[in-house]
Amino acid sequence: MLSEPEQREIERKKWIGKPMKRLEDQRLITADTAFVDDLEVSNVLYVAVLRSPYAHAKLLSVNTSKALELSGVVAAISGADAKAHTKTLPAYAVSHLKPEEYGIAVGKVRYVGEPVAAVAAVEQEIAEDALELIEVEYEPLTAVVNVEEAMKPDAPLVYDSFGTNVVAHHSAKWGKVEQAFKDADFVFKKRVTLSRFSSTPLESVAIIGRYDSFTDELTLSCNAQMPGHVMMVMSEVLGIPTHNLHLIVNDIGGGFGLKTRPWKPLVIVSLLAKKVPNRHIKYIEDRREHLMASGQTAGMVADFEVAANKEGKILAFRLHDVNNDGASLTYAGTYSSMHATLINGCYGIRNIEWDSYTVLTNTCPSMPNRGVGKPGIVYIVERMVDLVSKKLGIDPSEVRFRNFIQPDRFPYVTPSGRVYDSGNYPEVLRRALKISDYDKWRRDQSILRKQGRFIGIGIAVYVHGASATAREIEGITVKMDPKGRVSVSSGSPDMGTSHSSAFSQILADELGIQPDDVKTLSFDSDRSPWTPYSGTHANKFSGPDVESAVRAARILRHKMLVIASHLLGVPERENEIILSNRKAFLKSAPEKFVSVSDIAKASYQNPQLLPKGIDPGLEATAVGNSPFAMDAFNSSSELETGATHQLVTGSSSPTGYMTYPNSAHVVVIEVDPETGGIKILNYAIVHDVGRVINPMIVEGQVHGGAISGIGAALLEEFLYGDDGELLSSSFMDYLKPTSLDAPNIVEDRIETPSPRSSLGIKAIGEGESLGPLPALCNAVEDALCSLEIEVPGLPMTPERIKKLIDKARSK
Amino acid sequence: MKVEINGTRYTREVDSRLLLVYFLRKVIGLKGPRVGCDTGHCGACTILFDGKSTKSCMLLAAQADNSSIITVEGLLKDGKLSILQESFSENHALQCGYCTPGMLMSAQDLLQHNPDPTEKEIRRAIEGNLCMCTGYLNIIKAIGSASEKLRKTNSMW
Repeated sequence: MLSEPEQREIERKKWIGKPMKRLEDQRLITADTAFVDDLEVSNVLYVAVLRSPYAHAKLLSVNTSKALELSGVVAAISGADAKAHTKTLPAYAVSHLKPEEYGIAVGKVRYVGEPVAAVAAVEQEIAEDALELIEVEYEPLTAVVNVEEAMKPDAPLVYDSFGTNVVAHHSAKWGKVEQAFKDADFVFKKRVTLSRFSSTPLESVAIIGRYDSFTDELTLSCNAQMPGHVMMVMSEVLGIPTHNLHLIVNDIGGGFGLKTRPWKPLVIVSLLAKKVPNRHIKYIEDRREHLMASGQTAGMVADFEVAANKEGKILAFRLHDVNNDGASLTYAGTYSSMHATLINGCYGIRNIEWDSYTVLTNTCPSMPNRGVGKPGIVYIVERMVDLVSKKLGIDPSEVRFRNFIQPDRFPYVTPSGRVYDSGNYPEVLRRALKISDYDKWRRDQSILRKQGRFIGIGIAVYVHGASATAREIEGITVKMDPKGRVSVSSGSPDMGTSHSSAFSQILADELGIQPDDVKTLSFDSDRSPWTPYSGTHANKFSGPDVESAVRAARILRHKMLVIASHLLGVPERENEIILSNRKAFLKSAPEKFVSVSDIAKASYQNPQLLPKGIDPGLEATAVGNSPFAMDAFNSSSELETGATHQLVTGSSSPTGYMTYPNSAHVVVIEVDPETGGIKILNYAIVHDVGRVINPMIVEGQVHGGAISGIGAALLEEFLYGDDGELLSSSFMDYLKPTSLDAPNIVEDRIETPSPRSSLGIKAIGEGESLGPLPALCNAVEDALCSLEIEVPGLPMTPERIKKLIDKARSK
Repeated sequence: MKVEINGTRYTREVDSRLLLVYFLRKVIGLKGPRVGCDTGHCGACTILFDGKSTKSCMLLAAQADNSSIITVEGLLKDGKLSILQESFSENHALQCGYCTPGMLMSAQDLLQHNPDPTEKEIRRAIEGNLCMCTGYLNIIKAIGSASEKLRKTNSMW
């Protein structure tokens, strides 16, 4: 019988929950890397892309003949090539309009930076020089840059055939909104805005393409974070059967959503590869190109009216939001539609009216960015709660406590039909107030205020939907080789998201091996078990990826246990066998064991000895999602009904998320009235991401997310001139947070396991990037409350804050 | 031009327009120095140039004539990681790893000149290295932890 110490030893050797050093690090800290630009390829042609200097113009002609005459230039393409050989780019979220956009501009240019032509040359410098020899005739048109202008009936149309710039419209009414407004003691109104920003991965989009004319195969090496989606879309757009399209993804230098849909660069490289067969065509996007044309968040202007009673309980709200998705249908619509998924936040608000528009303008197309529409709705709801707190003179934490969904109400069905799995919002906020020393800061604040200092405290508490949506399945193959070593093959790539380490810890526990025994393979469409949804985005890893890995692992585990029971001479007693630390033994007789490599040997090398019902080999592929999601698909449930509102135009909003992690941010700041500068004095975060696989990795995501949110709140903005020119097209003007901007973060966590995931995990990837936007805004308004300043939107640059202060003081 | 890189001497002819970062990557074949921007802001290209941390995208290759350069590849000794590199891994100071070589070189410069830096000094030293993944806090911790270890030994490894 296993003794107590022996049992404890087995528990201690478990890997899930341990802050294990990452297996990925050795390669990365020695630069033994395989980013696209690291790949050694021969016979390379370098690509340069000519881009539109106009935000809106008719594209009358493109003549590449002079460029082709330049020595060293091998090929040149323009919109005519795209039109002749490729299809239009698909729209992800808008189904009622026929997309007109190609990988290279045809007939019209719609944003500054839109590709107009491209050349391939033997040297990068020659390719760049050749661009100047391409003759393009434009007829400039009036650009529309601002959403409110774009919605006017006489606005210039981004796509003439659409007849409008409004490409999606959601309209919903849940509960008894009118009655709630009648019953309310107070109604408050506010407008909040979000400028366009981006997580700007440090490595830009990079592709090497090669068309093999002998096998008729196109090979693309690309830092694509959604390879499954790339396979589906590019095979369609290029007209290539999927087995003739070979996509390879190695190292990715950050993605955050910006690398999910690089359709235009992929089309350009593919066209050039076809034009110059059997040579490697290499395109590395530069920073200016990435900022200008690769993708940005959608901008948002939101107006709300909130009805509250005198205790600060929110009875209802009306929300009207307009989202600027730039000049393309590639991703337009999702920022808006996602607002429905978290529309009531952490609160028991049942009466909501929502009207949301997606509008195109002559600016950079929208792309997913860390959270997509979630930052927007979290920002709106947390600003709303704060408005109620401010107007009623009730402490902002108290108002939240009075409105929270209580911990005994889960699973909680929201007005929009989503189901929150588990959570304890009051506890998360209580802890955040405790570790931030909230009460002490409030006392200090009142003393410092008397000294004329502008100290503010801001709170944000929110849920973030996670693990992508129910229908996003993933494929994972787990294989133990004849010597007991394990490899994992996934449809989704790592991009700093620590998949290798997470898989290693999970499989070590499931199969009784060590994390070092597990190797995670990179993506290769020829051998990875990809699905149309394969990719790393939307907190998906913790959902379908982990679930499929666990399912595949458990198939192997079962086989291993049965084989072990036979090897140990105790057939039929596999339920009593423990797999731990590379050994298998009976719980009641731990001194007699077989090794995992014995089991592998039996499985592969002595198939004649295997028990009936156990096939040779130890390899399993699982394709799917969590058991909860799969059940939901088999029965009609609230997950299938998806949006319960009327869709006017566009497409239906995402179905329910699998799990709902949640966070509380408490930030203390000081505003310098002379400069408008904001200094963070204290930043506390408490989160609940369910069970944690590796606390060190989770902490890293908390830091990274929070600092990226701080950047969006205080520094980052894609500013456009009236003519559609991007004024912040380099890191000189588009300011990123540096080591000087990152406050030390005080952290704590609780774990309310998710009943929907096999391991009880939720997700962390997007999480903390959402909180700083409303928390900092709330803090600044608190700091400046004596001047009655309202912060209209983000970012809160010193210039903007100073202007607000000066204006208030001049009154 | 003649240049010493990670202890090895090279003699090469270079185009007058070639930036040092591209020389290191394409002509010498190093992967450490990287390009992340086009205005000298991101620091992914940081190397040690005659002992000082320098952005290699801001120099022409020709300007490196007769100089001595260390890149992250030069931090290894007989395949063994430096204490600084180990500390990055122990403290989870990297996620995607793209900024890491540049960070390491800025940190190396700091610790060579200031063996007992304050947190403020560490933050200043890597001010010119952008990271989009980690939020910097673990990097700062890793550099501090490395400086403690290095003060106890006389060796980088």
